Amino acid sequence: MKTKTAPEIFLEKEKCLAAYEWFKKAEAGKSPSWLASYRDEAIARFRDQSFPTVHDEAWKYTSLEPFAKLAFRPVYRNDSGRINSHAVKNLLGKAPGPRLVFINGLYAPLFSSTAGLEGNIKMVHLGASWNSEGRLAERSWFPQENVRLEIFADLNSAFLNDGMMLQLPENFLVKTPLECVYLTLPENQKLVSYPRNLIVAEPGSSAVVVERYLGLGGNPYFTNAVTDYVIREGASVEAYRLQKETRQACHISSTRVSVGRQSRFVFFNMDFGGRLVRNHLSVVFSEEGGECDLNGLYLAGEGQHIDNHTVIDHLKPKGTSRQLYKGILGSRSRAVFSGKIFVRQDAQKTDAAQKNKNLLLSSDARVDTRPQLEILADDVKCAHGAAVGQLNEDEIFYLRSRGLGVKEAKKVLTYGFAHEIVDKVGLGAVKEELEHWLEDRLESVAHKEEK
Amino acid sequence: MPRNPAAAENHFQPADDFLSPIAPYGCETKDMSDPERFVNQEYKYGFVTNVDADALPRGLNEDIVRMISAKKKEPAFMLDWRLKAYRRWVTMKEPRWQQVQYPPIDYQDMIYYSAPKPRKKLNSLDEVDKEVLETFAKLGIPLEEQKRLAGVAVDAVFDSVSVATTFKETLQKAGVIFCSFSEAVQNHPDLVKKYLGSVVPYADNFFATLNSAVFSDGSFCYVPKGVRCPMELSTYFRINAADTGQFERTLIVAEEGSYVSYLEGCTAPIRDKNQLHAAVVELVALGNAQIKYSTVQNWYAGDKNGKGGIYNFVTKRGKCEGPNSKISWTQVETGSSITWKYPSVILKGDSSVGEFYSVALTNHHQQADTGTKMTHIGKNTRSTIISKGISARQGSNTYRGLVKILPKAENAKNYTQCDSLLLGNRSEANTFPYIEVENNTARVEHEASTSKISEDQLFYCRQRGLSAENAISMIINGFCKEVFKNLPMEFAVEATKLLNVSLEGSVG
Repeated sequence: MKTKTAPEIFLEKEKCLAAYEWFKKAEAGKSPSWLASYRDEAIARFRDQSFPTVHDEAWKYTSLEPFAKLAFRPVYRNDSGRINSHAVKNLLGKAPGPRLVFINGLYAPLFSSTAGLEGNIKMVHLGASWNSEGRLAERSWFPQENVRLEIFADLNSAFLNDGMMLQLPENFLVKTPLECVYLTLPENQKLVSYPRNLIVAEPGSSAVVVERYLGLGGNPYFTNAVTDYVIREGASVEAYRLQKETRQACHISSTRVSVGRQSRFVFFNMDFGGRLVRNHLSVVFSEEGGECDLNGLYLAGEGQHIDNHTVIDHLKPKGTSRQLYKGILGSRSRAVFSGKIFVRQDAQKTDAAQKNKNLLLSSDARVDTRPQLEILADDVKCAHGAAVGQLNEDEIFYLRSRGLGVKEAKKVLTYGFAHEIVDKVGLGAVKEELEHWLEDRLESVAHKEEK
Repeated sequence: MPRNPAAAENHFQPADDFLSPIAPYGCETKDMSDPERFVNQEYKYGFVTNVDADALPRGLNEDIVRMISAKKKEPAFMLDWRLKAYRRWVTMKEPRWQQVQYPPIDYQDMIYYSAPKPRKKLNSLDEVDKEVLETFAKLGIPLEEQKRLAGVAVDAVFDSVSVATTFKETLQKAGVIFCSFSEAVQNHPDLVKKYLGSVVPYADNFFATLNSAVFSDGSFCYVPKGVRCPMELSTYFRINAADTGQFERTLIVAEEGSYVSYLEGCTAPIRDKNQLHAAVVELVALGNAQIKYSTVQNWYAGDKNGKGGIYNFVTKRGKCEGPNSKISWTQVETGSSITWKYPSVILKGDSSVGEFYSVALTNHHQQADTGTKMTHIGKNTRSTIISKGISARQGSNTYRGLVKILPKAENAKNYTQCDSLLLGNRSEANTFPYIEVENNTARVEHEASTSKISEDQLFYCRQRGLSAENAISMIINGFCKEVFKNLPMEFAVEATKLLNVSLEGSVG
């Protein structure tokens, strides 16, 4: 690997397959055999699919075209000397608790710290633990991997190299939030990274987990992330996904959650950055009971395209799911929401609700929303709703009559729209950060509208 | 058996083909046990003299299209249009995205044209199937009307011909043209040429294209400028098309400032031997015009095990061409084994209005994938969608809708509500709305809910002395009320009863 650089990949099947051959050779002997075969299976699934186009129903509103012609190179060795540690430290800020940092997809010990890790929590980076923790990873590696084919998740599995593995011990309540950060620094080339997280909450455990995706620099890059949550019986996880990539980035992610018996999953997905963003979220109620509360907030401006694709699958009875995704769209931006709720025949007494609301601030913004229900059980309560609108003239008038300028009034109302989500954020540090972000971004969105 | 199309046109001798012992279009290769074949055989020998004029051989090719056109003595523009459609259809693939399942259709095993056959006249209601009579009674259909529906000869007073004649005179006075499509092609070719395909183009979709190539007949209605049609129009009064055709085509044009209300179908169960129905309905509303189109569909739904039944694959679309125009679709769909249609409105004129009210009920193995498409193009356009789905037993009900706001549609508004009611733990209810907004002044709202009748509601009704069955039927009618109130009065009364009949025995 030292002598030869990894081949580039495009969003092109042949190029990806060739890159895999190279990767496989380079990795030969380094990773345990189960991992090698895991990667092989993934690339086999990948081979049977093709990159989606707008002719695929699931990608109807999202085109990969802007990134199709770009060549991305993976990084297998970070040259720590070339990383501007001052800039990185500035960007990362102070860690509220244990934190693993990955730069260009690889673990960066310099910026990571697991000091203050409570009890027997296992919080390690995958690259170091293939052998020691391999059994855990192998055992809990996602059961429903084969159920829903998602080409980018398979690509991630094929090039699986590093990421965070977190195991919460049985009946252990973690107090400090556990964080992982993926930072991409595409200095003089276009980079691709495959972040991978595995979070296993053993029965009765509870924790707050934060995932962060950041970028720096002016080059395009491609993040293809996968996070798997296994929430076992009676466990409770509050998860945050904060995506703040640069405006040159293509960010595609898959978050897969298995909700166990009487367990609880609370999720916040915040999209503020990225040029082309596509998030897949799949929550499976594989046992009776269980509860999930999914929240999303996306703020897009200037040429951004943000697509949230969610699937909630109620396989077993008495599950409860709540979903609220809200979007604010500034000029030349586009947002897509596609949410599906399945209630299978066994899943009696399911209570599912889903809502998507969009605020259009600009005349050239566009939103496409598709909330969908597929219900095969009769004793259920399901509802979904979607709304698209703009700021209310009367409300603006009211604020103006109280002495606020037009710009200020719009900002206040937009902030209020977003606040429904921000209010639900339980983690103080994240809440504060969100408020700052919003303030910043709304300023610029409103500013653009003035012109 | 490919032939030279030109020769076919010039030497049109279907009788030779049809009676020839050599298999034309593969019909002789069919299994002898095919009942359809025996029906034809009987026909073949029983009415040799008029067979050559009344039916075409099985299968579809360019010659058949030419023959249909020739039989109907259509002007050249119609033939051209049909051929264009046919040539396009050959290149098209049958869609598979819908949430319904059915075995593949063999398009070469159908007869694409047979002139309406006179039904066997019965002498009295005693000869009518008892089951049918019972249904009539439950629906509260008047005795004389029962006779008409069942094909019993009616006495002079109630003779539908004379009734229809009076109506025709009234319409003529008002200047409304209301006739069969074939008559319209002969008598008003300019109007047909101008509006045919203006809303549903010949290449629109697989089934609409097939319809464009082979449609046999249908209704045509033209309401002149400023005229308010003096009565509710219905195919009921159009004598020569009392039978539902397999490939029907309806075209309604409302000139500026006019109004027309059109009723399609009826609540009585209709049995039909054609399994595939691929009709096309086109509505054109010019400035300030209003079209109200109501459908009650209760075609044969197949038996309890899902065998048989009609596939109702219909393309319905209206275009609000001028400002302040309005098109309103109301449908009550209780029949057919598969209902698959999306009555849509293109809101092109400024301030035009589109409405869609629907009740779709599926029982046993029935499947319905229905909804609407509202395309907002003009400024201040408004649309309302109210859809109620009821799934009983193994019934499957899908709402699929599209609300599209184009960039120029300033201040467009849409309100959508779709509710599903599940009766039976093997039933299915799906909701697939698509909302595409490209203008920030738009206000679009979508709400949907799915539930079953709650125990509390039932308990309340029962403690007031209603039987479980009556309580459920009352709750269901309440559930559908928003749609029923948009139906013409006599239809609404029948529709209410129809729901009860259709759901009979499915609760408890």
